[in-house]
Amino acid sequence: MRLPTATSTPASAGLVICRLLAGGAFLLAGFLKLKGGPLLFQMSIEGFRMVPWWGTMPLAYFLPWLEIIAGGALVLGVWSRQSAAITLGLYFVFTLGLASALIRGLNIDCGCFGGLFGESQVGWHSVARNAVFMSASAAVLIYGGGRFALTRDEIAGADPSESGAGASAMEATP
Amino acid sequence: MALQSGWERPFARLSALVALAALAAAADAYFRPVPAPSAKRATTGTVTGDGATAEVVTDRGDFVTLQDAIALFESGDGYFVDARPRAQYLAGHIPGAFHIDVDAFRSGRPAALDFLPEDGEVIIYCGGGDCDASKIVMRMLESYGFTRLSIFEAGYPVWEAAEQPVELGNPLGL
Repeated sequence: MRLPTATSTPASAGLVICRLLAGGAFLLAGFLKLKGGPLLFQMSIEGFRMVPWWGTMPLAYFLPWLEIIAGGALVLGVWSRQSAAITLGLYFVFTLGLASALIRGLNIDCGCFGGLFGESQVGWHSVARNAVFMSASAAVLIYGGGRFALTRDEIAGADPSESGAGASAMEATP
Repeated sequence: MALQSGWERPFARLSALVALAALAAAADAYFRPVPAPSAKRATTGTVTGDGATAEVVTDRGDFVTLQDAIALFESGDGYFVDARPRAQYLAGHIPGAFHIDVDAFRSGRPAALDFLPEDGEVIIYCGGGDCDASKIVMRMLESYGFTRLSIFEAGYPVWEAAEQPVELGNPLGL
């Protein structure tokens, strides 16, 4: 399977916006969770009643750092597709959790952006916002990092014999 | 073994990002450990006097009933903490209650804690039902050294429905 890359300038610039949007949101969310401390985030995770009790504290420590590292890599365009895969996966899981909580009628703390956007409680607006970020992540995963990415994008699944090199890489950046 | 083209290198990069986050989380957990929650349960003791023995509650445990809350309010022995969003607090709360919601902990120790004695009996409430804000605030207060904490689980709606006194606005100015 060969993944496409953005070749036109507007499309490539659009991918930069996607990187900044999805990656920047994750960077911000990660920093706010770190600032609030693991205990607060653990309690938010517990509120969703989806993770066994012994898993909540490891997740409370791990997720903010994964958000910061994947979000930071996406903003900078370092391994864009891989970091976009992580952010897409996380947004997908978070959205499932939010939707599940809303369907179950849970009146719980979102733990999303530290109440920064006045959304300390879960709501459908959080699901809609995540859908936008998921789309941005998916665009980078499919088309690559676009302009100003610090590293080249891999063509996942490309046949090495086609490129004539041991490892295939493709310029997604101009 | 040298990495081949295809999925190996992208997966190696993805794994590297996840491993980096796990490493940072492990370091975070080492330098910022979270104290274990205390297992608080209602306990009773016996008192004797005038030839009679009576069983009394020596520690209320995690929860107080409406009757307990009313008794504590009327005696002035308890400090009430309203964990609901600020707008709801301003629209009406138990007189004298401090407003300390989940968001108050996202930037460190809330200023309102300076007005709560650490050994005082603190009763936390939110909107009742499946509202979990009071549980989160209780756990956070515990992490700041407060020891006598209880949750008025029925919450403000039941207090109001019982035609108990309410206070509007923010007379404490916190």
